[in-house]
Amino acid sequence: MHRSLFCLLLTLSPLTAGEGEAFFESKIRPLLIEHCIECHGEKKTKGGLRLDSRGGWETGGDSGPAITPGDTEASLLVKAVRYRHDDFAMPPERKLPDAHIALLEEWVRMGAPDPRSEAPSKTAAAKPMSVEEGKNFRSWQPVRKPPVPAVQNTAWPRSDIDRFVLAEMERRNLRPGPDAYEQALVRRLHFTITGLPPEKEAGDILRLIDELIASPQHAERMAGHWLDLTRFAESSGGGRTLLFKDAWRYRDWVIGAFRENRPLDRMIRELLAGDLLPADSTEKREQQLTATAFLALGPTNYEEQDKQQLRFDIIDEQIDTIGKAFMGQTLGCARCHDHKFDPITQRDYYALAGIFASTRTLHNYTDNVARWIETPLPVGEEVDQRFAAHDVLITTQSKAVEELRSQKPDGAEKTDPELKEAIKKLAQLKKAAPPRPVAMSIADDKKPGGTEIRVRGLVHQKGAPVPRGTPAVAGPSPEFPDNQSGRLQLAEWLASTSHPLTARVYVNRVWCWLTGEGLVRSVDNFGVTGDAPTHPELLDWLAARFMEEGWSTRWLVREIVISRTWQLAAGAPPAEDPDNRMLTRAHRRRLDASQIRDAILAAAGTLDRQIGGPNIEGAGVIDANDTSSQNVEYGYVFKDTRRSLYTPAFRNRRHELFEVFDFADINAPAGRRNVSTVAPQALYLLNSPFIHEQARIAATRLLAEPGDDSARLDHACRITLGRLPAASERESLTRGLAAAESPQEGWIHVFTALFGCIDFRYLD
Amino acid sequence: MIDSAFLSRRAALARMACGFGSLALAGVHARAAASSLAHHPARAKRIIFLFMQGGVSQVDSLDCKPLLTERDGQMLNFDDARSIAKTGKGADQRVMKPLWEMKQRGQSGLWCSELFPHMARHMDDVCVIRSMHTEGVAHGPATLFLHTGSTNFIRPSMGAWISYGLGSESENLPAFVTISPALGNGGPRNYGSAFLPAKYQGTPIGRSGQAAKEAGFRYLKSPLSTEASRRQFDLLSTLNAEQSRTRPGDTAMEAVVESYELAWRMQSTAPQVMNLDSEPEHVKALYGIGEKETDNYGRQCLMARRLAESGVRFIQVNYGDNSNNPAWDQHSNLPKHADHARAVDKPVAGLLADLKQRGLLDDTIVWWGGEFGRTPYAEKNGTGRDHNPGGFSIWVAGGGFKAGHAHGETDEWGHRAIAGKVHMHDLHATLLHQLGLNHERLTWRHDGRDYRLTDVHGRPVRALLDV
Repeated sequence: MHRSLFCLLLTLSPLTAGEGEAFFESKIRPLLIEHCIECHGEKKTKGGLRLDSRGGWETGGDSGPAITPGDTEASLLVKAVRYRHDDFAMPPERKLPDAHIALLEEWVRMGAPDPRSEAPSKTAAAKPMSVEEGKNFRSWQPVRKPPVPAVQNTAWPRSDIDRFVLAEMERRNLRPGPDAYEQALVRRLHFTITGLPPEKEAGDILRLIDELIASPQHAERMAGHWLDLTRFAESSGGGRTLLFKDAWRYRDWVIGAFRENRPLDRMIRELLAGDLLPADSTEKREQQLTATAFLALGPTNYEEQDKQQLRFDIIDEQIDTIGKAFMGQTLGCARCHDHKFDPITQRDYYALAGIFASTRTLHNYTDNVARWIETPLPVGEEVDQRFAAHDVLITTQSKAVEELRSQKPDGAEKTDPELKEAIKKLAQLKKAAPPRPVAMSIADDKKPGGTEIRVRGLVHQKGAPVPRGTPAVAGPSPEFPDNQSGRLQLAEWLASTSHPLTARVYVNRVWCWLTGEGLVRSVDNFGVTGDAPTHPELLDWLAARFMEEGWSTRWLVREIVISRTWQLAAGAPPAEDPDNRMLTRAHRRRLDASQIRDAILAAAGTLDRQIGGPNIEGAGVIDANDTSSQNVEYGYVFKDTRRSLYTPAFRNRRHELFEVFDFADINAPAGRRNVSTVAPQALYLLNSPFIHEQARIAATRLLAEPGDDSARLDHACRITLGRLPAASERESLTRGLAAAESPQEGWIHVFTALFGCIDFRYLD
Repeated sequence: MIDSAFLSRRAALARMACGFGSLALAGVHARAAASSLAHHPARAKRIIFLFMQGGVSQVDSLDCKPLLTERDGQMLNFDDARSIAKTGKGADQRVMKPLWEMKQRGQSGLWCSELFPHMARHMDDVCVIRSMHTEGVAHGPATLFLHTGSTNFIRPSMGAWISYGLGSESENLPAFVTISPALGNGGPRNYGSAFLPAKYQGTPIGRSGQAAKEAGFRYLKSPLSTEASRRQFDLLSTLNAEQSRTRPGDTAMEAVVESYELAWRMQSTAPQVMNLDSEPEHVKALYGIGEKETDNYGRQCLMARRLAESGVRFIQVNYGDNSNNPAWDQHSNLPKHADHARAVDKPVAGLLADLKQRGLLDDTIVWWGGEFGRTPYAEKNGTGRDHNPGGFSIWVAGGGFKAGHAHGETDEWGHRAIAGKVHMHDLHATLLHQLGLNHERLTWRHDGRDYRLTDVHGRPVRALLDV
C-alpha cells in the first residue's frame, strides 16, 4: 500500500518524475551495466532474465518477475543481491558492496522508476530499424482520423477530446478527478494562454478563453514557445560570439505569424524557403525573407578555420534543427553512419545535406572569421532614393580620393594635407550613411545539386555522390529543380497533409505547451527510442482535425483549453496511474522563467507591454562582425522591463533569473523547458537586487492606494496569487507587517514573500 | 502507512542530493547513499584545473628542443595546422628559438625553463605530458573541446559530468565551481550542463575581468540588514509552510521549502569558505597574495584550496580574459609570455606546496595547461607564435599521477606529438578514471542516445599513473 502512495508522491510533478529518472540514470543504470547486463542482456540471457529494459524485469526470467515495484521483500532481484541464499545469490563471483545493495533496495522501494520502457533492446540494441520496417513503425504511418469513441459516462465529456480521454480511463476503470476551482482555472488560463497573470475579475469562462486567444499577448506567449523550439538567440555563442543584431526581426515574424494565426504549413514554407516564394507586395517579400533567419540563427562557430568543416557543421545544425523541431527525429545521428535506432540512413542524411549544401548560409568561405548573410530589406521608394543619394556622395568622394592619390607621390596619404583631408571626408561620409535595414537570411547557391556522402562524417573524406532527396522511409522523394537549392520542395514535402510527422509532432507540442506534458512525452523524439503516445487515437484525431482546420494553431489551442480534461483540478493522480498518463488530473506546473519575471513586473506595475521591435541597447549602431560588438553582450546590464520574450537572448550571457529558473538552452531546439528546484533559485528570490527593487516599487504603489492594511493585503495577494489570502496567510502576513521597522519595509517583506512563495510559483 | 511513505520520500530525496542546492538532508546515512556512482575505487577525490587560457608555448616552457636554437631563423616547410585547415597543405615558416633558458630540475631532471622559476622547483611533484594533442585550431573550438569534448556540438562540460558522476561531498557547496570564467570563447558553455540536469552545471565565482578580491557566489548577501533579512526569511518560510500543507505529500512543494532552508544555511557557510582573511600571513605569502603581480591569481588559487577542503569536486581556476586573443595568445609578441608567467608562477607553485604540506595532494589532481600549445616557428615571420593543437605540454600532479615523470615526445621541433601521444579525449578518460569513473560507462540518455564526455573515443593512459 505505501508503495503506491509513495509512487504517487514521487511522480506528482514533472520535477519528481524527472528525479526518479535521474536517480535511475545516475545510480541504477551504471550499476546494472557494471554488474548484471553482461549475463542478463542481449548477448547472454541467463535464466531467461534480461535487465536491459523495463520489460525485461517486468516479465522476468524462469523464476518470474524480478522486481515488484515498491516491495523489496517480494522482489527476487533484491533477494539475489542480498546473498542470503546460496542457491540464489547474484552476481556469481562476488557479493555487491553494501552501498550498491542499498541503492538497489532504495530504487525498488521508490517504485523502480525505469525510463527504458520504450527501448526494448530487441528492436533498439539488436540492429537499426530498416527502412522497410520503418514504414510500419507508428510514427511513419500516415495520419488517419479515427472515429470518436463512445463512452459510458456520457454526462462528463464536453468535447471530443474528452471522449477520447474518458474512453481510455474507462478501459482502465479510472475516473476523471474534480474540476478546477474557478480562481485556479482563471489563473491557469491567463498564464497558459498569455503568459501573464489575470488582471480583472473573470466573467464567463468561454468568453474569457476567446478574449485571451484573440489578444496579442497570446501571440507573444506562443512566440516564446516557438523561439525555444527554433533555438532563437541574439548572438552566436560558441567560439567568438557575434551579435545577431537583426535577429529581432525574426522574433517579430514569429509574433506576427501567431497574431494573424498564419497556418503552420505556410509558416514552414516561409521558414525554409521564404526567399524563394513569390510575393505580391514589398511587405510580404520582407516578411518572407525575414523568416529565413531561422536557418542562420544557430550557434555557429564562425572562427572555425577549416571552412568546409564549418560549412558542414552549419548544414548539420540546420538538418538537426529541422528534424527535431518539425519531425521529432534525430536526423543528425546519421551524419557519420546510418542511424543506430531509427530508419534513417547516412544516404538519407546526405540527400538532405545536398539541399543545404546548395544553400549559402555564409557570406563566403574564406574570411578568417566568417559572417552570415545580410540581405537589404526592401524599403519604400522614398527611402531608397535617400540611400541612393548618399551612395552617390560616397562614390564621388572615392573617385576624388583616387584621383588625388594618382597625382601625388607614394606615401602621400600620411603627409599631404589635401589628400589627408579627402580621405578623412570619405570616412566621415561612410560613417554618416543612413543604416540600411537588413535581415539575417540565407540564399541559394549558384550551382545547386547533390553532395557526396562523407565517410564517417569526415568532411574531406568523400564517398558516393547522392542526389538531393528526402528520407526513403517517408516514401518517394519530391523532384528537385536544377536551378534552385530544393528548400522549397523540402518545405512543401514537410508541410504536406500526407507527411506522417509534421502535424502529429506539432499538435503534440501544443498539447505539451498547454498542459505541461505531451501525449507523446518525449516531445522532441518521435523515433524508436521515444515514448509511445499515451492516447494514440487522440493524437491522430487532433492531427487530422488540425489539418482539416487549415493548420490553424488558434483552433487547436481553443479546442484543447475548452475541454473538460484541460479544466480538471491539478492534484495527486490515482495510485494505479502515478505518472498521470491517463490524465485524470491536470498536471501541476511551475511557472517558467519568463512567466515568473513577467508576473513580478506585472505585480509591481512596471511591466512595459510594448509589442515587437528590437530590444538590445547599443546594438543598432555597430557592425555585428566588429569585435567590439561582443562587449555589448559581455557588459550588458539587463534593466528594461519589457516582457521576457524581448530580453536580449545572448548565448553567453543570460538574465540571471533565467539562469536559475531553467530558461531553455538556446543552443539547441527545445520543445519543453526543464524544471529544477535548487537553492540558487531561493538565493535569487531572497537576495537579488531585481526582486528587492520590484518589491519596493510594488510596496510604494500599494501604500499610495487608499484603504487599510487588510484591503491592501487582499490586493497584494490578488495581483500575485490570483486569489485572496487564506485566514492563516492573512495572519502571518499581518504579523510580518507588524514586525517590520516601517510600513514600507513591511510591505517590501510582504511582496518578497509573495514573489518567493509556493503558490506564486505553481499553477494549480 | 503515512510514516513509512514519508520516510521513503525523505530517503529518496536524500539520494538525489548530488547537486548543488538540490535537496540535501543531514545524516550519515543520507550522505553515504548520496556518494557516487563510482565504477571502481577512486584514487583521487577532486580536480583543481588551472586553465592557462590562450595556449602556453611548450617549447619555451616544458619541452626542450635544442634544434630550435641551432636552426633559429631558417625558413623551413612545416605542416602548420592553420594553413592545413584553410588550404589543405603546409607552409614555409621561420624557426624561432626559445626565449627562456631551459634547465633540468630537481631529482627527476625534468626540463622547465626560466619562464617559470617557482613552478620549476616542483618538477619532482608533477607528471609532464609532452605529447598532448587536441582538436580545434582557433580558440573557440579548442576551448570548447577541452571543456566538453566537442568543438561544436552542445555537450556538458567535464565538471558537469564529474558532478553528475560523483555528486558533491558538501551539503552546502556545489560540486563544480569555476573561478573567474571568461565570457568569450564559448563562455558559459565551458561550464554548462547542456542536456544534463541544471544542478550539475558549474557555479561561477566572479567573472573574468573582475578582481578576485570581489569575487564570490552570487546572491549570497541580502541587501537588507541582518535582522530585516531574518524577518523576511521567517515570513516567507511561514507562508511556504502554510501553502505546502494544503498539498500534503507533494514532494515538489517540499522541495521548494527545503531549497530555502539550504539557501539560508549557505548564506552563513559559503562566505566562510570564501573568506581568505582567516588564513595566516605566511600562507597568503606563499601564494603571492599582497604582491601586485600575483595577488589576483594567488587569491584564486587559495580559494581553490579552501573549496577543495570543503568538498568541491571540480574547481577550475581561470587565468584568461574576455578577448578574442586571450591571455597567453602571443601571436606577435612572445616576450609578453613573461607577464603572464609572473602572474601565475608563484601562485601555482604556492598551491602545490600548500596542498602537499596538508596531505591534500595525495587525493587531489592538479591539472595545469591550456587549450593548445604554440608553434615552434614564428607566425608570419614576426615575433610571436601561432596556435598549435598538434603537440603541446601540460602537467598533472597528485591524485595518483606519477611524480617527477615526463611522458611522451614531440618531434625534434616540438611541433607535433609523435610518441606516447595523449589526445584530449585520453586525458579526460584518465582524469575520470582516477576519480573512479569509467568514461565509457558515465553516460546520459538524451534524444534516445547514450552520450558520454569522450564521445566514442578516449582511453585511460595507464603509463601516467602510479600503480
